[in-house]
Amino acid sequence: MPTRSQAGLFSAVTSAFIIEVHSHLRQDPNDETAALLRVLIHKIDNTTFGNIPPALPQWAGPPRTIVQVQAILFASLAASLLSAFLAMLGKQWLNRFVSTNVRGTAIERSQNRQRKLDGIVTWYFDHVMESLPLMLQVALLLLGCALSRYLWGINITVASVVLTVTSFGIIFYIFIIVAGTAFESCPYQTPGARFLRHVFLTILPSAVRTTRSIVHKLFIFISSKLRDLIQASFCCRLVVDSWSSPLNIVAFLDCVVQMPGALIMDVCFLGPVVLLITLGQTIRHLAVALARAGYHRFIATSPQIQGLDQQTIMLDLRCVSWMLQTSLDKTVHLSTLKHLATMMTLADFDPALVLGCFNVFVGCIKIDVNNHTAVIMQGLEQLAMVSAMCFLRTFHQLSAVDPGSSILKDVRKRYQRAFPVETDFGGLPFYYTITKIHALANQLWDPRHIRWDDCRPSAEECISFTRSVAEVAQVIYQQTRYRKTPRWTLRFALHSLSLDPIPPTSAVADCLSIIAIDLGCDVSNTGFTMSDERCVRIRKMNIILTSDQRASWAGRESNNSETQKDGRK
Amino acid sequence: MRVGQVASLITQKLKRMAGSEDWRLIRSKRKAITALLPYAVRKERDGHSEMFDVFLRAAITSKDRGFTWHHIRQYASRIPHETSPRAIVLVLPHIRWGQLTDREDLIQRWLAAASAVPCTEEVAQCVVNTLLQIASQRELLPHIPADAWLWLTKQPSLPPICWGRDVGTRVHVVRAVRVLKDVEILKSYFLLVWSEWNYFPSDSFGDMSNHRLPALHSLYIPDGGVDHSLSDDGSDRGLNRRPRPSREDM
Repeated sequence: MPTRSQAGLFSAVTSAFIIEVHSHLRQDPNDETAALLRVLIHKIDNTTFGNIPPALPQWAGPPRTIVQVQAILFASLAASLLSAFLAMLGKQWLNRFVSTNVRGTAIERSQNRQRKLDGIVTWYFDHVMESLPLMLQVALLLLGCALSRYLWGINITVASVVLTVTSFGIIFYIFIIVAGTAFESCPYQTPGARFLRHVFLTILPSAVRTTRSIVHKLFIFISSKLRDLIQASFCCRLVVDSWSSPLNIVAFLDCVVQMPGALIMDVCFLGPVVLLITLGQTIRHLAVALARAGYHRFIATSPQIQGLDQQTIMLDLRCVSWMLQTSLDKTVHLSTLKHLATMMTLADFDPALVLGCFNVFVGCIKIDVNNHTAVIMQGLEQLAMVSAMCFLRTFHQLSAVDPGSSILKDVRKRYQRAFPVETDFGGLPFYYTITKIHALANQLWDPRHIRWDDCRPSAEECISFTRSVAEVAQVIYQQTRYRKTPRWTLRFALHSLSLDPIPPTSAVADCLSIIAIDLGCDVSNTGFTMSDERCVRIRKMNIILTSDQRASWAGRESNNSETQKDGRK
Repeated sequence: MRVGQVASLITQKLKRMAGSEDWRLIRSKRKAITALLPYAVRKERDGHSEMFDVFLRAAITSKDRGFTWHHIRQYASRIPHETSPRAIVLVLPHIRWGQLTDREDLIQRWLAAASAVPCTEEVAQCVVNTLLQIASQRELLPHIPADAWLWLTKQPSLPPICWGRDVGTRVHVVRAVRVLKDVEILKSYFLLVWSEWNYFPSDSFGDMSNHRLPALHSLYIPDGGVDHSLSDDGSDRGLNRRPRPSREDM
């Protein structure tokens, strides 16, 4: 670890200066000896020093400048020694991290590695390690300052040289911080630059948004309270009553007479009451918000509360994400994605996982430029299928949980670049999956363009897709005021029911449910229920149709029915 | 379990719809009902014909000339391979032949199925209906064997709204029947297609009207201006004076 040796070097240099300056902190015995000699000479010959008798020097402590210089030098020494100490500890920590003392399967070893990595991230290990060079830099700065100050009292010329070099170093450091903050590609990156960029890009906009939101809410709150106050005010009521009554001198005089009393009532009673109510409401809101935040921060996300299974799942998901990001081996990708596909739930996964799955998926598919047909690369059929399933699963989940995610936008952009809307996926063996992915990625994509004719899905694919189509049919049937399900869902049901061999029983049941829903049957008694999660998913993310499309579809349907009615007339 | 429940629900619902005779409602749901056909056909093959029968009832009640949704075409060609002869015969009149694929093979299988089922009024109706629909497709006419036309001689009572009768009066169908030179078939054909619910395109019987005028002229006797007159029972009552027929009378 280079920081350790550098810290040692700095400490040595600083120590040399400290020794030099340290003598000034105590009274110099040579000075006292010289004074005594001067007194003796004066006793022998009192004409040597003139009429003024020499006096013994009274030492009043070290000079203030020396104390300051010494303090700064010691601070520099302490910083460099602390840096060396932490560097030594850091080496031990890293040795423990790289040690592979766990035997077992690849999954168990990956989990162990991921656990260590999570610990490093949770406990800000990288920040601590990055602070070591920072401490050395601070130590160097302190040394430069102390030296300049010390030499300034001895010789200004020498001090000027030191000061110039130190100033140049400071200016250069500030420059590289600014450059590193402004340009991410700048090679002179420092921790300070990264911190400032984080502040400017994340914290500051967020703070501005939050402040704006708070001010807006505060304004609304104050204006509403003011309105309530005015409405409840005795004075205002008097004025309104007199204004609304027919103009006569008696009413006006009555109003003028009652006004002071009303004013006193307002000031004495109404003001404090409104203030107390407002204060109470504010305190209640704050307490609720704090309690909720505290619950989410300390209880809901606590590993003890989440349970072992949940922790293992999260650990596995992070492992998978890391594997996809770091490995280029297709076999590793395949085994990793297979593991991901077999996981029961995807809870709180890293959004980067979506990107990882997408990258693997894109690597397996190529587009024929002439006819926009998607084909799987030679030998990557299995990986393409598994990666498509995993990509859909993670993409779907992230779209439901965090529709505004920046990674989601990024994935959509990349997907649209890789697979234009007119891409033909007809020849792919996982047509349903890619159809759903395409629908999710292109939110304005029209599901009526789906071609089912040549599609022969696998049983798993068929079951999940049929289920989701049935749910969409149910939702849209309700949204169109119990009139129709979309035609494409019926077309899908027709195609699925006419497949040979017949799809799995649950898929057949879902297809029949689509038909039953369109016919107006109540299928809730037959076991067709939409789980809460799925309802939320469909409503939040618009699984295949966007809300605009549904609205236009509903509008088109109503137009059609009106046209039919006109025709009948 | 769930499949049975949903299927039962659908069957009950269709029964109610067909029972209410509300053809508008059934027509508005024809896409859903069509989507049900593959499943109903499979069930019929397995011996559960309730849903299939309800489908047929709904199709008939709809009074729609082309009841099924056009997306059925991919599946329709496979129907003869998957189901019983009865189902083939009964379901094919409700599918538009113009939209089907692999029709030549379908005709052969349909004829085989028609000959395999016992001839009832319902079966004869469906067969004749389908036969006329096939015949209306000009390119399919050569694929209809002469024996198939004998079904016309059974003279089933076609329903008032019948797609086969509507398209069966096209000129090439009339010619095809005449070319057979079988009086019984020709007579039965006319009796089947000639109804008060139907109309004939002007070109369908154009040949016959063209022949009618020369025939009348040949019957006209210049001196005396008489013609044979027929009694109510069709017997000749001898020559009768009549005004010379003009072109407007034709």
